[in-house]
Amino acid sequence: MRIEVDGTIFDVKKGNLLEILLDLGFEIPHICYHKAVGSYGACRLCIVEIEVNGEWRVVTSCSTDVRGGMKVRTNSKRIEDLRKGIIELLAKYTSSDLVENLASRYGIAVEGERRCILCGLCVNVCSIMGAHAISFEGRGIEKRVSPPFEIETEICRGCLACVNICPTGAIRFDEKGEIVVEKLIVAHHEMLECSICGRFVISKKHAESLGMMEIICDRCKRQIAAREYAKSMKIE
Amino acid sequence: MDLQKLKEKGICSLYGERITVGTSTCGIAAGALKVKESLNAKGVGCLGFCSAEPLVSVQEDGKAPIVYRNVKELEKAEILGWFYPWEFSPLEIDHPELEGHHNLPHLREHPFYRKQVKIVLRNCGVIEPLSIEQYIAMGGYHALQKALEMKPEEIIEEIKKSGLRGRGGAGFPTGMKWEIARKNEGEKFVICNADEGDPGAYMDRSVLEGDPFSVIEGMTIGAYAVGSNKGFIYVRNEYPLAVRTLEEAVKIAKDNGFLGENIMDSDFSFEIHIVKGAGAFVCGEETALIASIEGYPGEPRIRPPYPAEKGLWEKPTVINNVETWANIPVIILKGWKFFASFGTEKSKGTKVFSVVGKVKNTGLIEVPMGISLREIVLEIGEADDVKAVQTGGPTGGCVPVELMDVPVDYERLVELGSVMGSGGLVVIGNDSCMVDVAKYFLEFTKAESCGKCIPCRLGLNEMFGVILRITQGEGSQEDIERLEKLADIVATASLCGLGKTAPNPLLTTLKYFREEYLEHIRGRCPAGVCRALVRYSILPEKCVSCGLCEINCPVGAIKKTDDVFSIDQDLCIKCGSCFKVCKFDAVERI
Repeated sequence: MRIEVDGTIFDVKKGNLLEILLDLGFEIPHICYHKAVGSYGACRLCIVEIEVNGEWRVVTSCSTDVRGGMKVRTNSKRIEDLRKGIIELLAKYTSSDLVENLASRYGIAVEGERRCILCGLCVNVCSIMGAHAISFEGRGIEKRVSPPFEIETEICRGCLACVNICPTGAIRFDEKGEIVVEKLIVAHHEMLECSICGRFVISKKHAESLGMMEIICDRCKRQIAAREYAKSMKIE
Repeated sequence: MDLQKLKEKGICSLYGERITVGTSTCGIAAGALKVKESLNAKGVGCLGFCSAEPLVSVQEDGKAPIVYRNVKELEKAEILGWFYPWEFSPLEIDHPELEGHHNLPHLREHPFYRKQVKIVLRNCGVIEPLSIEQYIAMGGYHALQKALEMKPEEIIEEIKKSGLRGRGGAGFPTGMKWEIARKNEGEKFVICNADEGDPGAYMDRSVLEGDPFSVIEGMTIGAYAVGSNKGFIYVRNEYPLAVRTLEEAVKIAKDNGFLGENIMDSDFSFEIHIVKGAGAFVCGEETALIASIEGYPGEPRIRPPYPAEKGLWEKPTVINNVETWANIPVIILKGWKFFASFGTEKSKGTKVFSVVGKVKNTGLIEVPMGISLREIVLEIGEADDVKAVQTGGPTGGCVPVELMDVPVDYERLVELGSVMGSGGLVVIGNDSCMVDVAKYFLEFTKAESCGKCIPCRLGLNEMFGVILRITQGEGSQEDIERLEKLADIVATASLCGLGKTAPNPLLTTLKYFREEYLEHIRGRCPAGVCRALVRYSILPEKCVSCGLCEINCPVGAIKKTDDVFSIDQDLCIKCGSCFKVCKFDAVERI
């Protein structure tokens, strides 16, 4: 089908407007959208204007499906003003490389204290993993990511999907096996060591849930593979 | 099950000698339980007239009931009026004839009742809420009986033609919602949204406490029409009496064959579950309510898909407000033409409002759509000092007194920057500061924002900070521009209706009372409400040195030196006691 974006006509397939715009090479800032999670609608940065009955209406592109003949504006003054306004709010209340990067485009100073922007990615991947170890607690400005009742939880398996997907580094994991969001401890994990080199590899719970038989770290695995390859190729 | 038999039983218990007391939460708060006990009376729902509670009806055999107001002791109480028990109901009811009291005023002659049309509140204050026989005697369950003989499509057509729109506030056409759900396949749900959270609004509570079967019957008809066998009533736990009443009513309806398997001996089965909400305002938003029933935090979800397509557990779900459901039986029984004969071109039927604030007659009223705000406030409420009317709760707007001729109509209220909302109507007098009013509502919405999306969570907090500064006398011209800019971001970019409408009180007060904001920036609160901007002093030329202010000052800031009273400004806590007690207007408030 055909759509018009910022005055240019494109041939596109059915699907999510944000993904299609990104594929076409348009720069649409977005935080809470992830292909694995789908649209969540929290960050509101992916807003665009679409024409509905002759009027331009502001919508989040992540929650809009493309329709044939759709007219889209991605960088009108209206959109830029709103986006800048949202980033100003983020920059006032939070700080992280991600927000620095967004704010620098508009020349906004970042002065917030917290890292977490409540994009919900961590909570949503935890739910996809089936663990539901973290969720939101509180309302409004008090809202935060937390394990149940803000008490270290046994439910967490230590898969670290939350740590890996967090765009601001608000959820962290350290060698001691602690997962921490902002200053709140989510879980404490017993870590299993690599049976060859002794480095920490994976949490015991996650290894068990995956049914791992032997614990070997990436580096040792690579060395073993290389050695076997060399042997088969008769390289010294 | 025999409808006729239950009806006869109901008629028997409605007539004869009968004393009733309004014992909804509002009545109880006014002391109705004590009165009920002393008179050995029956408890009924609320007749709506809050400022006249406790309300007692005394009915002698063969005579129409007489209503007494503000009853402490019946012998000393004032008569409000008499009425026939069936006369508020729009349904044609064949009841035994009663003798009127033509020497006494009739209830309808009272300004509070004169312009009311009771469709939703038809039984409130008349029947005992948990008497299914009395409910049936007043025409209840006749609509369900009729509906079960109709095709579901015919019911939906009837609702569509009636023009009924969602009474929760947004005003989406109910019939259209049902039709969408009807067309979707598979398991479906119906939900009653009873998460009433607007400050000062208690329409839903009153219906649930006073006439629970009307909602249950409406839901049962709706479920039959869309093809659902399971319904939920989501009611806030802060309404303990409503929760208890509903739980009992569902059980009674089931025991009598109006819920459960093979309802009224038909093939249709339907059950209702009560879900208690934990008190988050945002859970009144339909997708947040659905998330809450599912056991997730009460956060709104992206629409589309709308609940009628994918709602509770991703199944098609019809979600309507208490008042919407209570309208359904009347539309089915009396036909769409009757319902559509009330109202304006696009807003049909009646609307229940809770009229509170600076009015003489506070209470719950039901008026035809299209009535003007002026009639509601001045004639029904008998207010004599009005500056503005706030409609639509904390996310509605303030309509100034000059524009009060606007008819109550979904579109017309939006044109003025307000909304119909669920029916909260707060009358604001000239002693209120409009900046302070906007601050109050922003404080509410910022605390009740779920926090999911950035504009609402951070934007409202920012707006509150700015308006707080203005009320503290630290505002500037730029602050007003900043407020307007933030309001635009929050209203345009927020995820759900809460954020999209939360700036309304600010925007309407800025539009209609801008001068008050500017006065605050100049360092003056014209209404004398914002304490940081108020200063009390004593005018020596008017002061007669009676010393009443000195006695009443809680901090000892008023002292007499050389026969003249004066206020120590460093000590003064601006409580205004001196201003209120002075009989000579010698205390000046600037």
